[in-house]
Order: sequence, then C-alpha cells, then structure tokens
Amino acid sequence: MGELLGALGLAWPRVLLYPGGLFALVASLVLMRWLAAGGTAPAWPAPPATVIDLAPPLVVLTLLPLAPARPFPFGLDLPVALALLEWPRFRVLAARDRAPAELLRDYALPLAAALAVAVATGGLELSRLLRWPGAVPEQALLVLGAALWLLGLPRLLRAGPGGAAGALRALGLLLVGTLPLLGALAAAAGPWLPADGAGWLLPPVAMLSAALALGVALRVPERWAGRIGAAGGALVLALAAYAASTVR
Amino acid sequence: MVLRNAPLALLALLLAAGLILAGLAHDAPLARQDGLLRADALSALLVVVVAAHGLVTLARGTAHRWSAVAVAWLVAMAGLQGHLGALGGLLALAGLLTGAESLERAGLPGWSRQVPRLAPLGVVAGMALIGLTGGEWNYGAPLAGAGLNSLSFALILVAALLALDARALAGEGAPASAPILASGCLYALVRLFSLGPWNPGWLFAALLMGGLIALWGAWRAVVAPVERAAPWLGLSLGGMAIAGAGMGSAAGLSVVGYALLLWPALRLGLERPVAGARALWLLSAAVPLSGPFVAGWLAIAAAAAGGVPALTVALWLAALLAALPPARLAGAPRPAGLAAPTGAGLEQGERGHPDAPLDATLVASAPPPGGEAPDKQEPSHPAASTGRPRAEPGSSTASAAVRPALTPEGRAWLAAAYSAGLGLGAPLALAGLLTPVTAQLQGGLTPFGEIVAWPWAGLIAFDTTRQPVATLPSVALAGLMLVLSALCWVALRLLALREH
Repeated sequence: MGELLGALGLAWPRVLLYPGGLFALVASLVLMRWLAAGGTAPAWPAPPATVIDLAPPLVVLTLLPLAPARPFPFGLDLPVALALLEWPRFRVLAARDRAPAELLRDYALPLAAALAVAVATGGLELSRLLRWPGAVPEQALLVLGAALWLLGLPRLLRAGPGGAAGALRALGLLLVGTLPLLGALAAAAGPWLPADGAGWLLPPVAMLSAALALGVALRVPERWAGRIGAAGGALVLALAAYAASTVR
Repeated sequence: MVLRNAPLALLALLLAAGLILAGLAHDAPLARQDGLLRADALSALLVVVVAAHGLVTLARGTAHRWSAVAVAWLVAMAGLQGHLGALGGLLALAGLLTGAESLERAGLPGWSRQVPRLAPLGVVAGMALIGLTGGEWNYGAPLAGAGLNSLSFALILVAALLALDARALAGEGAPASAPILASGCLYALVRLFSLGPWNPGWLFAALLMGGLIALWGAWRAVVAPVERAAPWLGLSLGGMAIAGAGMGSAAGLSVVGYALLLWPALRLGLERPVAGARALWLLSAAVPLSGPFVAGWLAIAAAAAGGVPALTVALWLAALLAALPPARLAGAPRPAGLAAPTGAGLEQGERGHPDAPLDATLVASAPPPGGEAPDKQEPSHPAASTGRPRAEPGSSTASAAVRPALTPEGRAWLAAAYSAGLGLGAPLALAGLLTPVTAQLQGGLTPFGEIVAWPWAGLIAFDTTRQPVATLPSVALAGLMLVLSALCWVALRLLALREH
C-alpha cells in the first residue's frame, strides 16, 4: 500500500507537466493542427468535453514510459493502453451505425502491429517497446510493427471523435507508436550520447519523427494503405513464424 | 409464500455452500468415503457458478423454477464427486431435467433444443472410457490418468462444445446453450487436468476450437440485433474459456475460472434486456476495469504469456467486438411509455426467427420514474396487455411463475454491480477462488504462463521465465484516474466559468 501511495505521490510531475498535464494539452493541440493540415482531422462531431471522456486517455499519456520523466513502477501494457485511449471513440461508436466489417478494418493494422511488437519484444508491456532487440528478425519485426501502427493511424483517427478527448486520444496513439522509434534511437545513439543527454534529447526527436511519419501516412491513399498493410501483415506473420522457430 | 421463495432460498444456500467450500478447500482438497466424495477449489468454483446461474434464471424469470434449482443442485453435486461415473451420471441427469427449461426457446427447431441437454452424455462416455481403460474410477487416485486417451478427451471436449451450442455458429439461429450444463461440461473438461498433463495435440485442438468460437461468437454478437446478443456473448465467453483450458497453463485456467464467474453477470444484464439502461455500459469490455474488460485482458495476457501471439490477437479482436453490443444497448434510446417491465419481449421474439430484430417496444422496459407498480401501468403493447409476462403456450398457470423476480432495470444495475465488483475485485477473486484451482491442478499444467495478483496494484502476467509480459495495474489506475478526474473537473469548471 505504501509503495502504491508513494508512487502516486511521486508521480505529480507526470500528472501535471510531462508526459501528461501541460505537455499533453499543448502537444495534442499541435497534433490536431498537424492532422487538419494533412486533411485527416477526426470526422465525427466532437462530443462535449466531460471528465468521463478525458480521464482515460489522459491516464495513458501520464503513464507512458517516456524519459526524462521519473519511471512509474506500475506501467501499462498495450491492450490496456489501447482500451483506455479508444474509450472516447467507443462512447461515440456505441451511438453510431458503423458496420462491423468497418470496425475490423479500423483495427486490422494496429492489431497486426501489436502482433509484431509482441513477438519482437516477447511481451505486451509498453516499457518493452523501448527495448531494442538483439536479433535481426526481432528488430525487423519491431520496426515493421511501428510502421504498421503509424500506417493504421490515419484511418483510426479519421473515423474518430474530435474535441479535447479526441485530441488526447490521437496524441496517445501517436506516442505509443513513438516508443519503438525511441528504443531504436536510444540503441543507435547509446555509444556516443550520455544517458542524461539521451533522456532529454531523444524523446523530442522520436516524437517529431513519428509525427512526420504520420504526415507521410496521411498522404497515402486509403486503398494503397490497405495494400501496404496487407503486405506488411503477411510479412509480420512470416517473420513471427521465423522468430518463433528460432527461439523455441 | 414459503414454497414460492423456496427455489430462491435453495439457490442462495447453494451459493453460500460454494463460498464456504472455497474457503475450506483453499489449501487442500477435501475427500470423504475413500475419495468418492471429493471437493477441491475447482469444485467450489463450479458450485458458486451454477448457483449464480440459477439465481440469474430466477431473476430473469422462468416458468420452470424448480427445474432450474434441480439442475443447479445436480451439477453442483456432480462437482463434488470423486467417482468419474457419478460425475458424468449426475451431469447427464441434469441434462435430462434441463429439457423443460430449454423449451423456453420455442423459436428453435425441436432437434436443435435437444443438443445442449444431451451434451453431458459425451461426458458420461468420456469418463466411462477413462474408467474402463485405466481400471480406476476415482480421479483422485494415483493411477487415475492411465485411462485418459485421445478418444475420451475428444468426447468431453465435444460435449463442452455442444453444451455451449457452438454448432449454432454454422446456422442462422441464436445458440440455445444451457449455461448451467455448459458450466458442468467445462468443469469436466478442466477436471481432466487432475488426471495428468494434456498432450500437445489436445492442447492445440482446444486452443483452436476455443479461439475460433470466441472470435466467431463475438462477430455474431455484433451482427445480431443488440437485444439478442447475449447468447452469442455467452458463447464467445465459453470459447474464451475453452481456449484458456487449451493453454494448459495456470494463466489459462485463470481465464477459464474468470470467464465462468463472469457469465452469470452477462446473462443477468443482457438476457431480456432493457434498452437505454446506462448500467449496461459496465457489461462492455470497452469500459476500463469492468468485468468483461478484465476477462478480455486475462485472455490476452494468458495467450501472450503462453507464447501464442496469433491467439493473443484473435482474443483481443474478440474482446473488441464483444464490447460493442452491450455499449449499443446501453446507448440506445430508452423506449418511452412502455408497459410492465416483464421481460416478455424476448420471449415473444423467440417465437419468430431467432435472429430477427425485435420491435423496439418489445424490449423490456423499465418502470417509469414514478415507480408505479408494473401491474398497474397502462399497457401499450399487446404482449404486455395484461401487465403480465407471457407464459408458455398452453400453460395457464405459468404466467405468474414466469414473472421475473427483478425488473429489467434492476437486473441491469445488479449485473453492473456484479461486473464492477468482479473487475475491480479481480485480484481478490484471483487470490480467493482461482489461484487455489491452479495450485491444486498444478500437476497437469504446463509452466507456460501464470497470472497473479500484483500486491496493491492489480494483476500481472508472467511467462515461463517469470518475466512480466502484461500488466493491469487496476488499483493504481483507479487511484490515478480519480486524481486526473478531479483535475479535469476543475479545469472544465474553470473553462465554463470563463465562457460565462
């Protein structure tokens, strides 16, 4: 009990400043501008901002394992993070007549990405996404997973709610896709960048890179995104099978 | 009066007995009469689950209350048998008695209704084969597993699938599963771990069938009219349980146990539901920390811990799909000015095509805010023109008996409370009911994955090397969400003040 209360007490910079709080508010606004510039602003009308919609995505942002924030001992995993981030969308989705097949297509690429990163990192915890694997097939899977995640985002964001909750959701989904990039950057920069410097320098670089990659994904026509995604999914399955055969 | 409440009292007694048994068998199984009567944590779990299902059946309303009680008691007694023949025999007897209750689904063809009630015969055959082949009928005996072979395993697996009415996936009608019998058949399947480890072929068969049923059932739940999603969601949950058994690990068995515990909540809220009841949100896996959310997480985490990523994604997708029907039902506009909250709507619908959409007015409605007694309300639909529920055709006395013990709104709130309690209290349920099951069946399990309570945080899943693979810090999340909700509320109030 003491450990939990202590962790919550020490988490105030996360809650108020970074990666939640002030950072989340500003970054989500900037991201929405970026999405609007790419023609992918959420198409669904924004529901009134309510505590019940804002809190779940904000919790994910607050608990993201992003340096230089102090580590939080009770981290999330990918299914929990996705569920919390998708809560505002689900609230709207319940009242909309979206075909089940469309729903499947929405989540096809994110789930293929989750499959790739689960195999590459051996688990579903978000903090594992920061660990750059040693073997080449796992490295390829992690990169492929991050790419598929970012490629699937435009469709997921387009068919989603706007407003403050929608903006926090979009930022959370982008930052989850940023984690493997951050891991790769940290592995590449590790030999020549001091740890303190890496903690301050690399997260912004990874976030900007992910945002730029999302900008590219926004400009990919949906039909092409589907084809690339299908090819990527097939590659994930092949690599996952290969990785599984070499590990076990 | 005493006779009218006797079924309720008997089922409450069974529930209390199950909980007491869970406490007594927490550390070690209890055995009497040379092992002919044997109770362990799995038996206690079965007793609790079937008692809960029985209570749900009464709350939802049935013309066959005594039949529901008898079936629940028989299946519970089957769980206390150490003799394989007695176990199967009591399940089969329960199946024969289930007939009357299953007749409520009058929209289905006659032969279709017989399949789930005859499913325990597969358990009888499988258990008899084990006893005859191995020469040992007491499953607690050291060499009891000698008779376990692929045929006996297949018979019991097929019995579980038929009890869930998985064959409905291939047809158009809704599944007519008998939840108490299905729980008994799933118990028989899991009981095989007492006899020894399953071979990889059996594990794969159970994984494949379970994953397929979970995903396909969830899909059918989404495409079916929302008020008819409950049987499909139950089937999907049953598939998740079979997949959990197929993982053959402690984590997988936690999935089985949790799915069995959750099923009564889904039935309570979603069978003969009330449209627009906000409480039904808590039966959606989309709501963080609800029972279905935790069930989905357990299944995903167990598959990840077992190193089966394809199953992880399949179960994840199943949980995503299964989240939608309860959310849609909760978000649907509440039909205004309807008659008594009788629960008669679905019975009416069941006489037509099983998947045919219901007229909005046929969905059971809540009493008006004034709280007027249902019988005094102005009827607005022929189905409720007497202010009473519909009875089975030809049954003049049944109409009073079918009257649900709780209004649909009341059931929705009770189911929501059950779901929230099971979700937030998942670490307690795991420690009190499920961990003893996995500990006592450890001899038959593989080391591929374990889910344990994370002290003062929530749940954590470990892989075979004891590395954490998935985390659900539900207590920490709830605490943080409270803090963030307070901050958001203050911010929104400040914004509102500024706008004014």
